[in-house]
Amino acid sequence: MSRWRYFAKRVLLSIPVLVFGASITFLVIRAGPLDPVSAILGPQGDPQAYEAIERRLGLNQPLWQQYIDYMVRLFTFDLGQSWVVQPNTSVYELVLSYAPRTIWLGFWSVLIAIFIGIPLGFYAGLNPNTFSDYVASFGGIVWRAMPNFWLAVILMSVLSQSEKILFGFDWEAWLVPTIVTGPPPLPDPIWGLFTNPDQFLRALKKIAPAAIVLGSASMGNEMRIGRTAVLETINSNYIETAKAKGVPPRSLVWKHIFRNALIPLVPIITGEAFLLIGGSVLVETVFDISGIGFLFFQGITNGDMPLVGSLMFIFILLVVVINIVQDLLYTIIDPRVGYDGGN
Amino acid sequence: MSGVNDDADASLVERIRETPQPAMRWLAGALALFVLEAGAVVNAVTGLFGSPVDIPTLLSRDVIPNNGYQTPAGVWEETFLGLSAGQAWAFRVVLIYLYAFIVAWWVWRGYLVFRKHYRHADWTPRDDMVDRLRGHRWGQFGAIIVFMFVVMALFAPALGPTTVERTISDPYSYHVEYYEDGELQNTTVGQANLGSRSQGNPDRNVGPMQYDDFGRFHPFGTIPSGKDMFTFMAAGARVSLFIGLVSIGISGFIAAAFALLTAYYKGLVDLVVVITGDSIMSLPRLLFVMLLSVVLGGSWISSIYNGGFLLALIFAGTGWPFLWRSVRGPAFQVAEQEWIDAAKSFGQKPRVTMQKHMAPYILGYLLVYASMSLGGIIVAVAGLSFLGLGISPPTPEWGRAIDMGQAYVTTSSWHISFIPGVMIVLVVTAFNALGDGIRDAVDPQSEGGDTSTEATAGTGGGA
Amino acid sequence: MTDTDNLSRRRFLQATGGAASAVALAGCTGDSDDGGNETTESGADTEETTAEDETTEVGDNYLRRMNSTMTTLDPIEATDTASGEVIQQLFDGLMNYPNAEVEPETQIASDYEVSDDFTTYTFTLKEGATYHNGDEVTAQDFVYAWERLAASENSSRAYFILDSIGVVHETDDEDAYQPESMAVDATDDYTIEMELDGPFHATLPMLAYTSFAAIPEGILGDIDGYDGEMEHEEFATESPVGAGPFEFDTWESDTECIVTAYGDYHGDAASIDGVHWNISSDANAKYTYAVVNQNADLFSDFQTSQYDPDKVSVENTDDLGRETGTYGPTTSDATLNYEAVSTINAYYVGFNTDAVEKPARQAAAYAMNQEEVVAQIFKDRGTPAYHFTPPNAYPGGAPEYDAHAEESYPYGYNESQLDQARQVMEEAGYSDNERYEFTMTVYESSDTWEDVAVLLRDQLASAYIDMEVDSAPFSTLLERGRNGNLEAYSLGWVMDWPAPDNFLQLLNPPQTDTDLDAPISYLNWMDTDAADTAEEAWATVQDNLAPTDEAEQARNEAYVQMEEANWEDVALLPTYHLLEERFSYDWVDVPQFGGGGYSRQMYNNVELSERDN
Repeated sequence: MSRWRYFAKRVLLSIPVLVFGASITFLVIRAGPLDPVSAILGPQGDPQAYEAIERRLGLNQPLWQQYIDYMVRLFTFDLGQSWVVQPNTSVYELVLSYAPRTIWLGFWSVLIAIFIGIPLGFYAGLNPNTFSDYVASFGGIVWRAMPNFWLAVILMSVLSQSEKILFGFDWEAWLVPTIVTGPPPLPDPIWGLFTNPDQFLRALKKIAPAAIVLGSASMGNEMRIGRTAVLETINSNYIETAKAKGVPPRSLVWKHIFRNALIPLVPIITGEAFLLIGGSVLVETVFDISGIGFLFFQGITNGDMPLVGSLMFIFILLVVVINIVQDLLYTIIDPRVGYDGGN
Repeated sequence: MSGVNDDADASLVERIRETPQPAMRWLAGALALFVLEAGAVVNAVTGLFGSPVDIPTLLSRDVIPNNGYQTPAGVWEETFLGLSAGQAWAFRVVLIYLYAFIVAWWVWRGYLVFRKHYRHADWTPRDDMVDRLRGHRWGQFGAIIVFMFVVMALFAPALGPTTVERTISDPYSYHVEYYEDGELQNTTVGQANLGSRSQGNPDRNVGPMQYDDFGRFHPFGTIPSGKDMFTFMAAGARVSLFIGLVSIGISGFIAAAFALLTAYYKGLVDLVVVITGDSIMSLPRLLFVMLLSVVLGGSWISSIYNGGFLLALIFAGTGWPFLWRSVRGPAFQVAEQEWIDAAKSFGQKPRVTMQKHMAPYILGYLLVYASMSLGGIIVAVAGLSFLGLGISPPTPEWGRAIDMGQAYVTTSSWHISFIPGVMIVLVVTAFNALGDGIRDAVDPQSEGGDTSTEATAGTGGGA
Repeated sequence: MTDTDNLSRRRFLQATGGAASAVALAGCTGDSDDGGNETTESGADTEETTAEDETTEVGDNYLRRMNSTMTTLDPIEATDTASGEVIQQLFDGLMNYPNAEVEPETQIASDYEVSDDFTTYTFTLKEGATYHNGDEVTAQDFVYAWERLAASENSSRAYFILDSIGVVHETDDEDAYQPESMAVDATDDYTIEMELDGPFHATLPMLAYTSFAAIPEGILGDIDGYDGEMEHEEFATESPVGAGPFEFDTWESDTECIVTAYGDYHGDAASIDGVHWNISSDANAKYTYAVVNQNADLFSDFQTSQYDPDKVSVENTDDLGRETGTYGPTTSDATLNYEAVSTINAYYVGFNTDAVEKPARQAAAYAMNQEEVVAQIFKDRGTPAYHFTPPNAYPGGAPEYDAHAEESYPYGYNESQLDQARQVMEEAGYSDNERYEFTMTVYESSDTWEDVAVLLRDQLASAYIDMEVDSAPFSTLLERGRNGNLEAYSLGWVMDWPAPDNFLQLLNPPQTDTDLDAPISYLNWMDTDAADTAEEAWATVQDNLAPTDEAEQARNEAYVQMEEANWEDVALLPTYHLLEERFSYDWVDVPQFGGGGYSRQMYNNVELSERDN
């Protein structure tokens, strides 16, 4: 099978996955007890108002009719309007206004994790079985096991009163004044970030604690993989040969080891997308960042069905796309991977 | 050395009859250990059929009581040997753990006795796995912590300084005695709880290892409602473990069944399961679990075990594809083996082939991922209850403690959030370490393995 | 902390819980928040001065506030206080609650007359009042705005004008309002005439609600006969046009909202340049923002966990029962000015009397010690409730409220009587082996209710009752209530108008029948002697709605009968009345707010001096 046929097959296979995922979501939100009409109306609404709203929302239609409408709308990317959380606002608009914060958060949680995790792993791998290796390895493992929400709670509380706890170090006043919680100050339009270094710094500092929390699991994994890759490479024959030839160790590390570490890193980074989507709810709740996860949670607890359904669809789409990209990346970086679909 | 009987078909019982001595010695020890706790077992079993029967049990709170009061002269009354409440409690905890470790050690000895005297084969591949595990310090560390966690869940009623019944579920039916103004006072536990709340202000706080105004000792302090946190945590360990085990049990079963079926039949069956599994995996798991627990929160299932059973089902329903993914490869590998073909050509029934020849092979892998997922589920359950979903109050759950203490992290009541968090970290690390250990034992070549699955499994989908 | 004001009041209030975790302006409510009495609202952090965050820089002369998630800026659509506070600044109506005090005064109206039979109201408008777009406010605008209130599908409060006030109108076959049939007419540009079905004592207070605010005629096309100059969504989120003292600037959801002073305001123009709200819903974040970092000038959210009741010193209590004093020192060594007002609301445990039998309800009443609840769970930031009618609305005011409760409350005034609870259950045949079970559902947005429920659960456990505590999203709770699927539940009620009948309608037995499509409470309280008494008393109230002393006397007697009937059957168990607090720094000069709650106060009279932080 050629690469393109393999790719086509992957895309084809993802269609039933999308349909199935959307259907499950529909089943859950429409068949359950979440009732947006009550949420909109409050307890005093009279029956006419109740029915009027029900009609307006199309909830009086038979379930299969609702299902067809729902699927058709989703697949034509008509994501509808929020009913409860922010009435009169299209889901698009909500996503457009909430998503940048989550993307900014996600971007840095991936990046910070890579920039801290991999070098630490390399360092540990280059100094195997030393005290610092143990400290780094053990630290990475524990770091990975910390529940995001707990880490977020602790970090948030400590940083917000850091001058009392961290021996006078005042996080909020450090470099640029920010407060710990709240959404990051993203300028509109977004490229303002790149023309204004002060703004960039502020937005970065603001998101850093949340990004570190969200990236914690990946950071631990990346460290482990970095360490393993270094160890494997160091012990392999061709390194011995290269060493014998007098290649300086530093260039050895960067030339050979990094490439080797790259392959197992791909699934880690794509896998982080899952952690991100899930973790964003908790982290955003704790840090009070009004991003997509926060929006989703609001939607659930308020019975805002169209919002929840549409967001879920977006997430599924995202996951499916990431999976395809991941497979594609594999075939590019690692020639050993076959195209047979199997593992 | 093997026993005298070299007949491979001789049953274990026959072999024991042959050389009864080591087995008898071991059994005697086991019996002695059992007697110590027989009361608890009888109590639990009779409890299933009606009102539980109480038999004195060595390690119970009745035998080593820690609830008492201190007279103005400083003398403790009604506690074990007149020790202070804290000392009496610590004594009981040490005894319980000592007992648990002795039991564990005795079980291990039993295995050795079996291996030495009664097993037919001198050597099996499993011995190598066990030996590798014996040399795996990291895995052992995990095993010990996991064991302590399980003991905490199992012995929760005896470990706490007080019981769930007394302080959490029915505090107004029990009384405490304490000295105030030189007189012995008597009040309900509920009333006393109101006076020992941890609410952030220094004068409204009972921290770890402190006594409250009523002479009650709180190893972990109290939660904001004034209830003992250690009791809360021990009971919470039970809930977490229950959810974890049930959901892993169910999803492990589904995963193994599907893996075997797809590896055996391949083709369309495989495709259908792949699509179903992929669809479920493409739902962001934690979010979907949240959605389900809200939507199904009102149904009758949610009243079983305070919502714990529902959560277990939800986690099983959304978690099996991950387990299945991790054993699908090994299942396919084993299906390629010649002996499977041989079995087929002998006309052995597919079910038997799968059960006898394929299942044992994937079991090890299943264990690895099950161990790691368990940690993940514990985190995820905690995350849900942190958000107020899942387990209904007042049932103790670790995540709820973190939530309750969230506002107090930088106040004098810091312990409420901090301690449960540390315990989760410890338990999850331990489950991961145990998983690492088992993996290295089962398959020493597989350094690293499929790390992304593990990563997701080990962290509860981002919670 | 009693309130001595027995005037009629109205209020808007807050409570939250409803949509989008917002605080309800009126009616049924849940308080959210972390536990305190704060109910509400508000939000946290935003920005500014010290910098930061995504919020916009505003000048020094802006009042810095916090707010929680807002939903809409359309006055007829908003039901939460977060939106309400901003709407109050942007829109003016005929009447207003001056500084949120419940005795209304005229705003755009210059004068009004009431006919002798109390059914025809004639309002004269000020001339020259203008909208932010420069147009003049005319009588036709009010007719248009009120028609929207009654007929628009965006209206959440049609019953205010159609049912509560009861303006004469026609209905169609399905009993729905017939558009353009309301008896509200503009007789000339500055005169409005309104005709009611019958007298209603709280008409003027009701008109002070922002739902009745003026908007330019024809600006929206959501009622018959108008095309609209803009889409509703645009009006509700980006360009609301009103005649209030402040003009809309920006609102970014869950981030911030800014309004600026309107120079051509018809009343006292604001001395501050504008108001900036930092929006968030996290209690801890709000605490950090306002108290630790001193980024808000004037705020009401004070996280209960950080709140120390011992730091409050009350220096003065005025004749409305409002307390003023100081709070401090805070962790930032500041001393805050403190105001506390018992606003008009009641939070209660409701029982579906079909599902929870009387002895169990009585046991719950015996078990609960309202004072302990307030002291322990709310750190004293509330008032124990024995009547459903709040002290400030109770006939005779707070002193009468307290006296009546102390003398006649049958289930232990300020004490928990577990022995009695056990006894009443034993008499009903329950024992340790024969335990009674029911479920209490609390809404998720409130931590405090969960604490209250758990405390009650603990107490009832020793009275042979296994009460399960369940929590549900606010909307789900209402839905289940409507369908009669709740056994016991927690809810609150915030006044629509500041009189007992607004509260006691929840105890009018026919309106508690969950077989109805829209019961206002879910008690199913019928067919008992006490329920019959309550029903008769309610009928007496309805026969005496005129705003005269004589009618009021008759109403007042009936109100007390209803309260006592409820005591007899414990259909609902009053638990607490929220105390609304507000803190400010020294550089803020703001008039005290009244029983309507701080979100009803307009900020055109606020003055700022130089900040010293």
